[in-house]
Amino acid sequence: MKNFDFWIRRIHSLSGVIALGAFLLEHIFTVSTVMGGPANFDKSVAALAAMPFLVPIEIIAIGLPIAFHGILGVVYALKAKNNPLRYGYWNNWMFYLQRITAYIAFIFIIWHVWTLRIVGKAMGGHLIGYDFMHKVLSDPLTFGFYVIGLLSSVFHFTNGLFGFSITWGIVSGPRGQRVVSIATLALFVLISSVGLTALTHFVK
Amino acid sequence: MAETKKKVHFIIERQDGPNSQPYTEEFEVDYRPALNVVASLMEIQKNPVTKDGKKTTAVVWECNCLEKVCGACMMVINGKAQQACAALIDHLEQPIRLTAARTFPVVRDLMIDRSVMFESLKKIHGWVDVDGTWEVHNDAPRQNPKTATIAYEISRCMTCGCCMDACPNVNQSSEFIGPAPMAQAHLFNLHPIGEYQKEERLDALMEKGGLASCGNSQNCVQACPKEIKLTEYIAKLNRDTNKQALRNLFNK
Ligand code: SF4
Ligand code: SF4
Ligand code: FES
Repeated sequence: MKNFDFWIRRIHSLSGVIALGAFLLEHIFTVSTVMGGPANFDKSVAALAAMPFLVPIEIIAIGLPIAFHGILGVVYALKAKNNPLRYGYWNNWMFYLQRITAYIAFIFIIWHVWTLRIVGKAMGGHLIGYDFMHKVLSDPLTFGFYVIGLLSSVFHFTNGLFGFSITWGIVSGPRGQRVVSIATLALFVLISSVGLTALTHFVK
Repeated sequence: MAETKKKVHFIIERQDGPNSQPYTEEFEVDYRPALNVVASLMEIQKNPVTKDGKKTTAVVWECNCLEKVCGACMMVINGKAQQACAALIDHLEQPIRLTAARTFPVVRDLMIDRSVMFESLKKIHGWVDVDGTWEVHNDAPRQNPKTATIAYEISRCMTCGCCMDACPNVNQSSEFIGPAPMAQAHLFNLHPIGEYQKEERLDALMEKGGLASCGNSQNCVQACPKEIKLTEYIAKLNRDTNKQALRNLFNK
């Protein structure tokens, strides 16, 4: 196919924002219903579980895009010679962090899905709900890993929006790029504070 | 009269041939006002004796214009790729570390082989086709003076490779052609006759190792000694290639 490599890279970018980004927002939103109390959280989990065609949707709209974006992303990231120590510019650090958080998020997501969705729900038949999450997150090490995983995923998403806006030619000038850069940073602070607050509600 | 002369201390990474192991040697050069790195290397060449008095071979490097125009003298000075002829000693922290820009194959010492950049210019059709066998325009082609200003800025690129060395995505394990050739594609796309090959250039930029391999680290724009707004043109090219990719998908 003509422009094959180009399209693969563009779909990589699209999958990151449209599939993964949208799911991340939905996920943090669902989880943050815990702020309204354990029962509230259990209700939203049950509502999601009652969704028709849940498994195909999970696989096609979430699982495959994550695998595609993650595996291809690792291949791309491994080709870079990271040099923020030589060229310590802000954007270069962001470029570097984008890759570091990608590796962390990649491992975190595999573990998160494996322990909860696959071993926890599909195989072990745990009831995924407040009680179970309370038990899981009461272990300080696990809690710490969740914090790191959350921050990495959110950073990778919001900072990814900066790259996205350039990749798709939405902003080109330095002023426009700076505005987007600040806006994505603000978004990072906003989304991660929601996520972190939600996490603390599980161990209250 | 017993005043000790101020010295400039260099730590230079040397390499005897393309495949030999690099090693370092230290040198001291007498300070003088407005001394730059190329002039210091010339002093070392006249008297190739290391700091500890050991006789050695002259350090090899490249230079031509001595005024930041030809691009030849690019090397890594204190960690950053730059033009040695424009690197004033007064602006550098000592000891001054010189290494070859290892993003490119090293020929010897500080001398590198930048031919990959010229190959990339061929790939992106970095010229205007006028063969004289057909009439291009009845009158001289016109260019909006605003566009001409941008074109002038990009046309000052001297293929030095600073941007290439700074770019994290340009290296010997990646196919990425890097920022300089991409900006040149944009330059020729802006030209009233060069524009006729815009599609070919954009198609070339959509090949493997083209524009999509840029990771937006934006080091290139910081590194460019000619202050070419590389990231701005990369974003513009993103816009152009996206449109071209859709055209290729739906119109062909
Ligand atoms: S913006 Fe793109 S081309 Fe420029 S240094 Fe970064 S990755 Fe390289
Ligand atoms: S764009 Fe700038 S840094 Fe890159 S080769 Fe041209 S002059 Fe050198
Ligand atoms: S000698 Fe020409 S740029 Fe330095």
